[in-house]
Amino acid sequence: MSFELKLDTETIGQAFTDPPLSVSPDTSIREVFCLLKQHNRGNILVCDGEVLVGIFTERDALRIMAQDANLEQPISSVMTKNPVVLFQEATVSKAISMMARGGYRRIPVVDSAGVPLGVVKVSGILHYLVEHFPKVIYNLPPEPHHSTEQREGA
Amino acid sequence: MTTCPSCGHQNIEGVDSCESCSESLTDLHLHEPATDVERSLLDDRISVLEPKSPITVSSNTPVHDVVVMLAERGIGSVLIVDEGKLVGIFSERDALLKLNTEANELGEKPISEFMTADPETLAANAKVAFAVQRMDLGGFRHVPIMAESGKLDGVISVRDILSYLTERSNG
Repeated sequence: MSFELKLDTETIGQAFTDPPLSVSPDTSIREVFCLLKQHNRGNILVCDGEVLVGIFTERDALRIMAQDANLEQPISSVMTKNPVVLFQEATVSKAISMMARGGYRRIPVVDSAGVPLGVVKVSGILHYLVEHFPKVIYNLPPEPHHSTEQREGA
Repeated sequence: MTTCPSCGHQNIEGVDSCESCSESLTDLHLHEPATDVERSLLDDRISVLEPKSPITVSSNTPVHDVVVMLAERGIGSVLIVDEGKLVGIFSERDALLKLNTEANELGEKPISEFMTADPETLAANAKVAFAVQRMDLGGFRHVPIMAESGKLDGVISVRDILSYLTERSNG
């Protein structure tokens, strides 16, 4: 049995990427909010034709709620344009370091033409770690429970 | 020497259970850490992640004020604390799912109506591997950390765990 975490060799396809949820740039913020709720998702990709042009996340949604912004505006006016992306042959370790350094919690995965294939998320990475790590570790009590002062027996 | 995975006690080679905490050591050969990352996850406790001081509000704070606070500070969640006691957590996901397009109309209602009550917490001395597993299982992105005294110690986020992993895997 191998428990080794192969962060440097396994590709992000292993890290439980979500299929992309996407809309066109002229979709209203209101429609996007409803879609996110309906799909219980924290991000949506904005595509012009098939090509990725932006991402809108729950962090952006929070800003809009805080400002009481007009929900009839197109999503293209509030999305993050030209988001950071990963190609599908990137490693899990690359995704982790991009997330940690750039503060991203989700990164779109695209093909060489810029068509989104999925989204790699922090939660997918965590799940990957749990799946690839010895189960016995998780069965340990969270803290040492019983302590003996002295060795027992003869 | 055999290091106990639970408490870290150095045991004599060959003993069946840890002399300090009685944890079984018989299956240790199954999970000899293969990489630095594995070893760190196994050995380190949550306190090495240096839980951040929590941002807290009381349960009667209007939800709009909380949303503004999250947006302005660029944070993903707040803890709801009444009289020193943790009663809930409210995250940006809660805002998106529960307020959605009605953020304006619902704005004056208290945060207690939208928070997740009695959130799961972790002890500061629990293993990092344990935190990873609990966060994955519960789908949490933020977990309040309790000190041994039972007092709220801070919050750790998924991001803290990723930064930690990055440092370990490059090290």
